[in-house]
Amino acid sequence: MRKTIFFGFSSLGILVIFFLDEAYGMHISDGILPLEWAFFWYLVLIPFIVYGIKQIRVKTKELLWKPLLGLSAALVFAISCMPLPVPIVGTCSHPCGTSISAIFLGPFVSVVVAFCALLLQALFLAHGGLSTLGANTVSMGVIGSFLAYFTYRIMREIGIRIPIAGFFSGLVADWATYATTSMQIALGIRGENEFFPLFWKVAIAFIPTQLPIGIAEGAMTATVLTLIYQRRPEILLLKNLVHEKGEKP
Amino acid sequence: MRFRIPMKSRLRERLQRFKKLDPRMKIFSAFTCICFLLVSKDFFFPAVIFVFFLICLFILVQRPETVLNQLREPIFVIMVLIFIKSLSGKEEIFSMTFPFLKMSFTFYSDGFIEGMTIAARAMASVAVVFFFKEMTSFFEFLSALSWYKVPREIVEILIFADRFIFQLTEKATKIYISQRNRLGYSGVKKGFISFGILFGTLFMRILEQSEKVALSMSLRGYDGKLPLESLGKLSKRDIIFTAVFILIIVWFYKL
Repeated sequence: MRKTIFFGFSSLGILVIFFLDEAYGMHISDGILPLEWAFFWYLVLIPFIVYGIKQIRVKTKELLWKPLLGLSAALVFAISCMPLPVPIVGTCSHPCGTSISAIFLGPFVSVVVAFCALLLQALFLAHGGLSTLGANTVSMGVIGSFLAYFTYRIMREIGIRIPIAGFFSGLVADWATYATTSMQIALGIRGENEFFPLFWKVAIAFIPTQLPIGIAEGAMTATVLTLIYQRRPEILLLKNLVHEKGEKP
Repeated sequence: MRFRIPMKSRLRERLQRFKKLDPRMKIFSAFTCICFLLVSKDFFFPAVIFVFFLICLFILVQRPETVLNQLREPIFVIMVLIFIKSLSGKEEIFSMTFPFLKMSFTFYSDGFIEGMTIAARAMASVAVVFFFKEMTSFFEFLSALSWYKVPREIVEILIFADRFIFQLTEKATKIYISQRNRLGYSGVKKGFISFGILFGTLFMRILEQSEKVALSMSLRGYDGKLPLESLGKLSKRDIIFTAVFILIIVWFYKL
């Protein structure tokens, strides 16, 4: 285990510091997953997309909803273009932004929004890819959105304050996204090797960027929720995200 | 008097002709090419495809940095993966010992080759997607998606997102630069708070903007459906061109 840890840190440190001045979120690039795995992740994604679209069809009877969804996808895209300094390795990376969309739009709709944002990222920025769109949406959209949503809901139900619930929902979403991506990569590239050693290697190799980014995503979610609660509390009340007006944030 | 057109410009003009190809055929060709890349097990085929499309991209794009920028993220991920793959295998190349940490690492040639094959496959796929993206306008792409029966909701979200991406990115960049100039990112804690405020401000703006957009669109007769360009019948020329392209890919794959 120590070997793996050292390997992970040293490899990433060398690569990031000497080869690139900017690291990115951990989307799987085109070509990394073999065809069968790329296809499998698309299959996993389909039920979530189908149900998400069903929900969108119901919600978009109000005209406000479609521009709102489009803007949410654009926001996830815009945020992912913003470089955020990563303290440990001295580079920049970016958060996913799906935790906020999951809390406000609901997890199924958030999956569709993440799918659209990832498609745009694959086309405009080469972050992720077309063949890996299924895998990336499963990790960021499905796992990220659902965990963010339920973490926030459960923590609010047991009476935890908005910023703390927001922080943990962002943190859990980001780290779970990263753990799922590590699993997807390990499954895709393992060949005849054993799964778990490879999974740990991949997971540890990306810790220096993803660990602080998870904290950043948590801080970001907490700040956004607090800001909205202070300026437009009716939005949170409408979405059932706070129990009563005047509640301490 | 005849002006001498530089070689690159002439080649670029020729490559630009691919833009006239039907977007449905472009998407089909790109997907077929990526599928062949994903099933390929050796280094040669993806390497050839990568070199070919990279040359095309350098000819096509005005500034070579654009191509390099697009390849940065895949390169980052791939280099990490090559390193990881090199540490497992059967044929040992060399070992590194770190007595200070009481650890040693062994690198394997078969693992390295496997890693390089994955890297070639990934770089070739990225180059293919980038090339076809350069050849297809976004609205052509959306029309083709609509023809391929991608749900209308997804296509419409993409239209709205595309419409606002640049506005939002511009706003986000302006806020980010002004925060940075006020030392908003001078420490880790400050940076996280500043980023939260940036994201929160943007989120508030999109809420306001979506209300405005919905209102102005409904005043202009928007009933919840955006009109999309309907693509006509596929021309024989486009089908033949696509078939020839795929045959060439198959021929390289079989080599």
